[in-house]
Amino acid sequence: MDISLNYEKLLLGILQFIIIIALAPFFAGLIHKLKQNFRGQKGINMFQFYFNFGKLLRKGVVLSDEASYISIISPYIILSVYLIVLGMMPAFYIYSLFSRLSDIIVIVYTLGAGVFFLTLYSLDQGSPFGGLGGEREWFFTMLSEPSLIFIFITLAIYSRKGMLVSIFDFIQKNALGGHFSIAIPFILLISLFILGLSENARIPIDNPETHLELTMIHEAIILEASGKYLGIFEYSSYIKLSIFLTLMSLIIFPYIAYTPIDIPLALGLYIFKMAMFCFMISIVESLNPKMRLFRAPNLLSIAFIISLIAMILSIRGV
Amino acid sequence: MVRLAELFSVLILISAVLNAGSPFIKFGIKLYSFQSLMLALYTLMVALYSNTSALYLSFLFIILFKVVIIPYFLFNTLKRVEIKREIDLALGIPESVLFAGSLTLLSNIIAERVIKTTVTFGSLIFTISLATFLIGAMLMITRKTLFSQIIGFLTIDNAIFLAGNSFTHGMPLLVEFGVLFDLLAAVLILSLIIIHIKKSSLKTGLRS
Amino acid sequence: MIELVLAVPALSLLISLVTDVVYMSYVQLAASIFVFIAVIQSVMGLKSDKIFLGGYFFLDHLNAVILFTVSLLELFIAFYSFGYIRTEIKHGLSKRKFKFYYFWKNLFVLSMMVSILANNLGIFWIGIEGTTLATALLVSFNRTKEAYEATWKYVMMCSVGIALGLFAIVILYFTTSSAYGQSIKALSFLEIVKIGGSLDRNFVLLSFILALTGFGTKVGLAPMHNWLPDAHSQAPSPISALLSGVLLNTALLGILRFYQIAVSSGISYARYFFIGFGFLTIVVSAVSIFSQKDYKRLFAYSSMENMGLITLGFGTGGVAVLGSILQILFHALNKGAIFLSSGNVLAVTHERKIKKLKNLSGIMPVTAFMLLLGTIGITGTPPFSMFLSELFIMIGLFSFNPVFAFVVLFFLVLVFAGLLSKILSMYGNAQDEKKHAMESSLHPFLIYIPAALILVSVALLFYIPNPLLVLIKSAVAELGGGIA
Repeated sequence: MDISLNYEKLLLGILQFIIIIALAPFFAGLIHKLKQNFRGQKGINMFQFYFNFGKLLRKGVVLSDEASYISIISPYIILSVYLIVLGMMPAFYIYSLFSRLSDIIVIVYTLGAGVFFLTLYSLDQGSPFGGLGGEREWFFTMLSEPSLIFIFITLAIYSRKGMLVSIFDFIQKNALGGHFSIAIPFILLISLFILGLSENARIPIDNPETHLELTMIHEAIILEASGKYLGIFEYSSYIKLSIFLTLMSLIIFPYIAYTPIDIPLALGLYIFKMAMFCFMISIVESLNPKMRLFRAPNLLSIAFIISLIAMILSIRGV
Repeated sequence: MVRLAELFSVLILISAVLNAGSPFIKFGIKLYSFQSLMLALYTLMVALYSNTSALYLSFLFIILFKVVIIPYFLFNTLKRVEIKREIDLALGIPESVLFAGSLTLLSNIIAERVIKTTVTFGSLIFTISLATFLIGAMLMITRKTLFSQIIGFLTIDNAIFLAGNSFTHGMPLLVEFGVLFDLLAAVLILSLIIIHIKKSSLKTGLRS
Repeated sequence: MIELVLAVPALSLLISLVTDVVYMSYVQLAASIFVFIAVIQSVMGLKSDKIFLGGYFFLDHLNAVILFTVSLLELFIAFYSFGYIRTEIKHGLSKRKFKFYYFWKNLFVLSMMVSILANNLGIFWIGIEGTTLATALLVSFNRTKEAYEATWKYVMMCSVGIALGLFAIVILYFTTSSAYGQSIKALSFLEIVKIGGSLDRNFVLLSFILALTGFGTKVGLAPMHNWLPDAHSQAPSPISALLSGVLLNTALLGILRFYQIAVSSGISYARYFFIGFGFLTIVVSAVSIFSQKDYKRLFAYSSMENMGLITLGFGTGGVAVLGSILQILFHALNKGAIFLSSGNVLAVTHERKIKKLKNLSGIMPVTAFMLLLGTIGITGTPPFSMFLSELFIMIGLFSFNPVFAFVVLFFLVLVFAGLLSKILSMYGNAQDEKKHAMESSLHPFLIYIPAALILVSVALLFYIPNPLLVLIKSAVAELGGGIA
């Protein structure tokens, strides 16, 4: 696949980048809204998270006395890390903005850098809960990162390509021709779904809606954050959710536009697929209670083994 | 069709892995039923592919015995003994799941060594059925609850059926029917023993 | 005529459902005698393989010997059961408990016959699994904690073992179906042996190993033997005798069939697996015998040791094959006598522990004497027929490898010492005179059937009827052994 740039591709790439960033809070809001509807509540406005973000940006920041420069730069680093990864995703147009960067190893470790700064931030404020949250965050990352690497390696082995963009290019071309294995994407999806729940602090693993010190993980980290920084953290988490949902939507049924004419259809399909996954996540979140912390490895080890099986399948060249 | 068959066979393995990862017995029985359904669909795919009439009948038998009757009996027994989950695991959940994964790797290696001929649905199915077999055996060894042991045994049986229906495009019908009937009888007798143990409330080393 | 061997147990199975257990015991006597005569009729003078019932079943010399053994022991067991039921009912056991006794027993015998005579390997498998299921509820007959545990272990381990056996059959079918297509022929033993040379050796070897470990579980070969002592000691005595005496041989027949297939396809080293498993079994049982506290378990381990010896003999080849085939017959008779007389001890004293039994010959003179004779016989001491068979096996072993033969002999002596020292300790004088019921409370059949078995066992050392000898010689020839 040709990834040399010209102005048209660059322009469309920037357009795609802006659209998926702008949509990120919408999907988070959609999950929230659907969940509330399942519980029989009236529910928030689907666009509520945009208002929240706007309001938080206008507010000032309070930092603790212990805070060093880490606390000041971390929010921006985390946001930019997730923005870069999201920018690599060929969500509906193949020449994504950072398509040249989108090596699978780069993606995994860029995400890792995000977690690194998040936990640094949690320690930097000197709050007792911060360290607790950071510790738990690493516990889950440690368990889920191998599976994530396996998932990407499976895709790479299957398509014999190293760049994310080329992988999905390959998958789309073969899937439309009917030559693609059904088993591999299907079980990768199962694995990725579990990982998505764990990485994005979703219910069986973590519940971001409560502030109970015994159970919080993600919330404990950003407990001290306020104002603009809190807004940035929240937005980064929407983007991270978007990254995982986009990956899922690309694996299960890629429909990526190559020319500007196909973009409207591809965009429509993209939003539809994302909404379907939001629906699934909200169902899972409504039906399940939050797990005890030490039962989470059960779920994550299953995700790991499933991705391992997928890798075996891809090595055998099914 | 080959692609779909592949999906079903992989799901058989995955449901075995999930079984290793869950201490809940009701869920285990449901998973077994799901696994058998996948086995039946796989058989159907092979039947469509190879156009063997015996396999269509085998499909119906599997649906009847493994998806409906055996889980029904197990649920019935479960209702009588009222037990919810595996207690006192000899091997923790993550450990047994990881163990299941390494068994899969092992059987992959064995399959690559042994199977050199190219058969339709050849060495992949051998890998999957061997791995499912080993995971079933692992369940039988590491679980103490009688139900989990039965589920392990049934998983082993499914693995053999998978191998039988793919390599050979089905065993002779008489044999297949006999095997299924024996399986049903085994499950009945084992549930009978469970109920007896529960009724007489003997303190055995076995947990009902 | 041979069809009757299958038809009669099936018929008495149905009759047992509708008749009372006391009347049923008469029917059973008639049926067993009838089966025995039918077997004699069809086995004696057998010239070549006889295929019947549409090619699903056949009779060659090898399974004829085992069929003869089964029907002979079954005949004695039928008489014993006749007395056993009357005695137990007299001792206060309710008739209801025996309601399904004959049903399961007949199902057991029927499925044993089916698997012995099966030509189709699938049918063989169904028969073997049938024996497990039929005996499951017989093993748990006493409804005690130990009985349930033993049953569970038995059904679980044997089912898994037999599942491995099914795997072996599937793999074999896969190779043979390339020659015969998807037909019933591809599972038929006689047809497979015919084309043995053209089969894919990898797969045949794989299926042989799977069958050896799978059906080996049912035979009680060493690493898979855990269930055997429990199940054999918990079952009612007549069933124990059948389990130990003939069921193990039936499962062994399956392994031998796979062995024949492996040999026919040119895998000559298959016999080393037999030697390895057999030797391991002898070692494990010889070591375990010393720590036993329960006399029925003791004899169960002795069965294991004998099965190990038989397997070893088949692996050694030459004269040892003759020894093994004789051992199958003699062991069945001798072990039958032992389990039946130890059943008498249990029925009178209600005691399983060796330590708690003293002055056995005072309580029950005939049975105690028979138990002692049987124990001496099972270790292969001269006046008993097993001396002959073990002698042949040892001669074969010595010509195979003298050092190895000495090692095996050492373990056999160990078994001899262990068995006799344990059993003799039951004959010592009692310190406190506990009141036991006397032997006279037993039905006379219970007392004299073991004696008859011992008698037959002794007689066979001095005189083997000529037709039987011809049969055994042909069976040996079928397995590629010979008299040097």
